Parts: sequence; structure tokens; C-alpha cells
Amino acid sequence: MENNQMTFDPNLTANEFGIFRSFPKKGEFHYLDNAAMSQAPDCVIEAMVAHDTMRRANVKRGVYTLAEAANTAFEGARAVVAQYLGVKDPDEVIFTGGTTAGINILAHSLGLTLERNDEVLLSQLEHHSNIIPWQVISQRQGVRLRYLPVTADGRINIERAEDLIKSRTKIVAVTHGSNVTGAITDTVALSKIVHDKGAMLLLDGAQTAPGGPLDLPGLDADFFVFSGHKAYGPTGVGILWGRKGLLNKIPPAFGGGEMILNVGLEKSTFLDAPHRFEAGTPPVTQAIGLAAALEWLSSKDLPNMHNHLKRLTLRIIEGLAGLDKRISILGPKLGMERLPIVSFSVDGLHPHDICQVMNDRHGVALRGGFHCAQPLHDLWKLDGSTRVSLAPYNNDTDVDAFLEGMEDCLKILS
Amino acid sequence: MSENLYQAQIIEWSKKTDHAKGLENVHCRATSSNPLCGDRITVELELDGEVVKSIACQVRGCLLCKASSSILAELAGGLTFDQLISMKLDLDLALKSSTDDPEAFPQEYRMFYPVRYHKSRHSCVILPFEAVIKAISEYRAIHIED
Repeated sequence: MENNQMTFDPNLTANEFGIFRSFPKKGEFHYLDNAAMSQAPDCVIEAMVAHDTMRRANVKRGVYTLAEAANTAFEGARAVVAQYLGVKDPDEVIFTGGTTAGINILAHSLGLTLERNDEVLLSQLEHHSNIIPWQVISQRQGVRLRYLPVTADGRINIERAEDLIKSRTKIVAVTHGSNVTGAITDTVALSKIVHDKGAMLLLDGAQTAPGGPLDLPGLDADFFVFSGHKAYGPTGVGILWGRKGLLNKIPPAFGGGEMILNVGLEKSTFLDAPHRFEAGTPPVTQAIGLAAALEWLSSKDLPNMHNHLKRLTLRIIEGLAGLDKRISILGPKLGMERLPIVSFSVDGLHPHDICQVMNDRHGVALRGGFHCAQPLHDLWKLDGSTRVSLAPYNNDTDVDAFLEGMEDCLKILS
Repeated sequence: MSENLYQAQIIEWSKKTDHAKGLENVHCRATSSNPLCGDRITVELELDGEVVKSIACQVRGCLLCKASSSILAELAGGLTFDQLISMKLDLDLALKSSTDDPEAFPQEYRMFYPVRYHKSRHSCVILPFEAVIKAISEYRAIHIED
């Protein structure tokens, strides 16, 4: 890759993003809402522009040269994603509209195989996108939902899995890494219990996929989903990965062009994965962009990038802890593994007020509210929390701005 | 304080709590919440027919929501249901308006003029009014049935 850095430098990395090159002219800007959406480097945008200006045609359809070029690029993107996920077969990689779409596809497809009183096990840590699709299935088909509890420090309590996974449990769908607490799920321990009991394991990788190439066989999941827009790619694209043997056994969620073997007036037959789950025109340009993003990320000095993010995360946690006794930090205790995400509550202050003042006075972009995880906040009796989430382009200046801003914010809002 | 949004007047109104105490005679009550941020407001109304005699608002929310409920509590006494409904519509329209003239913004809500540039915060200002409309609607539904 052109941007390969032998040692990781966040400032050089930031310089690869047009948005960061443009903002110094507009004033202070510290983007710390990466768990909601990361920025996209120039190479991603350029890859999409190049595709749409040189290879734009529908895929899986035409025999003309342009269509072949588009198809080759699209399938090439699929191969890049497969490599990023550490899987050998690109046919296990399905392009979706994002994590939410991926889970919905799976919920509706697998849902068709479930019977009344079958059980789906989720956790109290889940994003709404890994709760509501299953609630829809539950209400439609009488499937029961159960929840793994969370520990006081915001991790899924895996120890309860043994009890909660019953013979009727068909699917266990949990986050691989929490978008609120930053806790990383011990999937190896969980997958053994899940598979011993004959169930399937879906991991929501929306927050872990942006961390660098994955080893899905090592995670031992059956399905994995993530989004492009959190992984330095474009919006409107995501991935549903599944074991081929399972994917080809379940019915498709959506019907349409390019996913069929034969269509009759009464009945149709379907292609195998991935096409089985890609009805209609897929997000071709976005898939090209996502592949460029994953290649870009893979080209980084990942060990040093991770050390950089760990150091900044630690600075945030320690800085907040020393700032005010009213601050409670959610998530794993210091020393435990966590994503570069720090959510916190301040007794007596509303997250939106904090976020507004941090933006208006300090140019710091944070996220406040439930972060699409209302059950977790309800469990902890919190009206919401404020979240800082980091990406490789963040640096010490961003952390300084955050901590100084918070000090100011606490004075002003108190 | 931020010159963009959180002006002194909003802060001042957000600190008013004299309308928070529950009413003795409650003819209708409703709770509205914003699922995005967790804001929640419960409104109680004491009525004389369709005229508000007194109002109480218990708010768990941000400064904008608190300030907005204080304004509502200040203005609601003596207003009819229809006047309250039209007040909510006026505020809604004002927030969505494209005027660059603060003077064109209705005077009673002028402190919220900067909020119009922050679309994601409109719901914070509107929430107390939504709760009142909900309470009114529920009251009317019951009394029309009667």
C-alpha cells in the first residue's frame, strides 16, 4: 500500500483525511465520536470516485466489458473483506447495508427456521440493532428472548451462559465489543458453551472490526456482522459473514434479482451464498470503498497503532477519574482489555448539555444519550451517558482538548 | 457560556423549579420521553373545563428541556386547550423557520432562537409541549366518550 507506515504516527494518519486537512481553517476540531462513525481517508473516497468514473455498471448481469470490470472489482472487494476477516472462502462474505441490516437479514432468515418457544439468547449489553430484530421475530413467531446479564463493570457475564443456554436455545447473538462500555467479549469461552449446546453464535462486530484484521476462525463464531462507516469506509455498506454450510441451509430474507437459480410463477429456487442474501443491486461502489478502507487499515503498523490507542484511552480514563468525584466511568477497570471507548456519567449533569458545551466552546465532538443501548442504561438507572471514542487519527492534542474542555464544562454546568 | 446555544437566559430559565411540585387537583397527566437522550417530562394539569388553571412539570432532562418546561409553566395558566395546541405549533414552526432575524421569532420563545440551527436539539425544546398535548388529547378522548 502507498500509505504503509513502518511506525505508527497519528498525525501522518490524520493527514490522510481530507476532513482533518480542511478543519484547521474552520477552527478547533477534535473528532471523538468514532464509535458512531469514523472518518474516511482520501484513498477510500478516491477508490469510489474511480469506480464510478471508470467501472460503473451493474454487477452479476452484463456481459459487456464495463460490466465485467465492475463485477471483477466487486468480487475483488469481497475477497479483500474475506482476507480481512481471516476466512478463506469469499463466498461466505455477504454485502449488506450495514450491521443493522446484517442482523435483520439473519434474524428474518433464521427466524423462518425457528419454532414457537424456541429461544434466542442476547445480552443486556446489546445495541438496539441486536435486540429489536429479534423482538420482531419473537412477536411474530412466539420465539422467547432471554438475556445474559452484564457484570458491574460492563462485560457480558459469560459464566451465566451455561445456565441460560437450554436445549431450546437456537441462537446466541451478542456484541463482540460494546459500543458503551468498550468491553470485549470472551468469544472463545462463549462459543464452546454455545456449540456444546447445539446453538449458533452471532457476533456483532460493529465496534471490533475497525480495530484491524480479524481472525474469525479463532473467534469460533457462526455469523459475524459489521459496518463500513465505523471502519473508515462509506455509509450504506456492511458485511454479514456466515459459515457456508449454515448460510446455504437457511432461507433468504429478501427475494429479488440475482439471488435465484430458477423462477416460476408459483415457486423459485435460490442460489447459494453470497448471492442468496444479496437480492437486487448490492451497494457496489460502497463495497469498493469498504475494501479500500480495510486495505488502508491493514497497511498500518497495527501493534503500534493499538498501543497508541491504549495509551490515549488510559489518559482519558485517568484524566476523568481525577477531574471530579461526580464522574462515574462505565466499563472494565483499568488494566482490563477494552476498546478505545470511554463512556461516563456525571451526577447531576445531562449528557447532551455536556456534549453541547464541549462542541460549542471546545470544538470537541462527543456523543451523549443512550448510544442505542437503552436497556443497559435503564439497568444502571442512568438517564444516558457521554461517550468518547477514539480512532487512529486522534492524538494527545485531542485528549488534552477533551480533558480541559471537561474541566471547563463541569464549572459552567454546575 | 456558549454564545451559540446555551445563553444565560436559557440557563436561568432551566434553574426555575417552582413548577415542579405536583398539583393537588390533577385532571389530566401525561409523560413524554425522548428515546435518543433519555429526557422525560411528566406534565399535570388542573382544569376548569378546557382552560388550564395550573400546571406542574417534573423534568428529567437537559437544560433546554428544563428551560422550555419553565416557559411552558409560566405561560400555560389561563390558556385554553386550543391556545396550548397552537402555541406548540407556533414553537414548532419557529424552530423550523429559516428566518435570520431573531425579532421575527415569537417573543415568548426568543431565547430558543439559536436552537433552530441545532436540529437534533429541537426535540429537547418541544418535549414539554408534546407532553401537554398528550395530556390534553387523553383528557379530550375520555370526556368526548363521556
